[in-house]
Amino acid sequence: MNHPESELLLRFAEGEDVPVAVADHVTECDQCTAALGEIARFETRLANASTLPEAERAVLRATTARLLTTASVRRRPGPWRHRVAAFVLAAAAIVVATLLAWPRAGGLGAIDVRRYDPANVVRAERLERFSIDVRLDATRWLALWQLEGRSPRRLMPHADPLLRWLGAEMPLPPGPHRVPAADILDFEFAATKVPTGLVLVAFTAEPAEGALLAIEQTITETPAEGLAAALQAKWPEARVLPFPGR
Amino acid sequence: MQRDRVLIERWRAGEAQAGCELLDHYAGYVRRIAVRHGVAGGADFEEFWQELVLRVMQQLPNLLERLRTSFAGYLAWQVRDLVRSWRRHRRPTPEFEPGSVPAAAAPAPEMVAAFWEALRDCSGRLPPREQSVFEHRFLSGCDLGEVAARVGSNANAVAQAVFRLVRRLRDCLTAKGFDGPGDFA
Repeated sequence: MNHPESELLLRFAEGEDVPVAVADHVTECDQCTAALGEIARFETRLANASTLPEAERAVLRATTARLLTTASVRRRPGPWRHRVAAFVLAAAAIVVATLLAWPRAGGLGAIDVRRYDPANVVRAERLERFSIDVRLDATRWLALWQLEGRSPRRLMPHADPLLRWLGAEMPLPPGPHRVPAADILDFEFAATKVPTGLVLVAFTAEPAEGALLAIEQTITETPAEGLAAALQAKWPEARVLPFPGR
Repeated sequence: MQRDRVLIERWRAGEAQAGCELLDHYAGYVRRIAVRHGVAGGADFEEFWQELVLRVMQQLPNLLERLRTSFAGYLAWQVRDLVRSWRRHRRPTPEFEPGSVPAAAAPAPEMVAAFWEALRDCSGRLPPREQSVFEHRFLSGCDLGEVAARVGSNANAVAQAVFRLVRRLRDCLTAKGFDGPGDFA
């Protein structure tokens, strides 16, 4: 094909959707990449020349370090983790047994899944987002999974300790709530890989890792048509939600 | 730019220090754009910075695939998007005022000050339409559609102006002795 017009070239550079033929062409075209490279160098040049007072920079540096290093601590393996994991599993077994035996009132009310196309977001591929509105009738902790067939992907509690409850203070009091608590943390997925469903489970106490793993195992081992019943047999406040279409 | 990609790779591999180094380098740039969009300095900007870092962290797994030009360009659009989100959901922020960057915000070293002086001179020589495009696209981080709306033109004309003005500014800056993309890096 001929070189795409300037507008398409810049829209591609800004991460917007462009026809596949244009994206393929730009990637292979030396003249196009050179033109975009010129802009990239100019942007970098402006960025390099933007300075901050050292005191202000130090404050921001500390904020960045706090956010990033908290997130990275979990990646460091260590023997104490095994002991903690064993303890957590034992505690989880007790918690699950207690939860199963405890008579409870239902905590989950109306649930609404909101799927949307984020505007003005830099995207390399077509991405969409979603959030959930849920009404609670009693104080609860929530856990959420995104399903891709029988593969569960845990969304909450988040693996990153900093984002564990996605901006919310758990347990959540009765009333309407948004998950995640802030739209900046909304869940993202590729439009070509839409979730097949969601699993939302409410707990009366903070769910232990063992309980979460047990739910994931149930999802993996149960066909979709029997999943809701299988989950509710063990966790009465579990809901299997269809993912909304466009 | 290659340096940024290397830092992102290291950060993605779990090296938090690489992420700190990358973001620290662009803090001044982010502040400059955020201030142009009405984010106040001090604690307000610190809170804004925190949200921006969280957003970049969230996008880290696909960050390299998102970069079509530079990390600076990516940050500029994220800043603009985050400011909009604040306006909608968080707090009222002052309206956008072109040129409202306080000149004394950063006591810049001599070379940096000379660069901005040269850039001011070079951009002043651009035709008026290209000057506007330059302000909105490169100093305020607006995307193509927004620039077109602000200057009252269509997106293709703006895109052509972007490519043209970058060449002109590069030539002018080179003539003034600023000849490397890595100036001040």
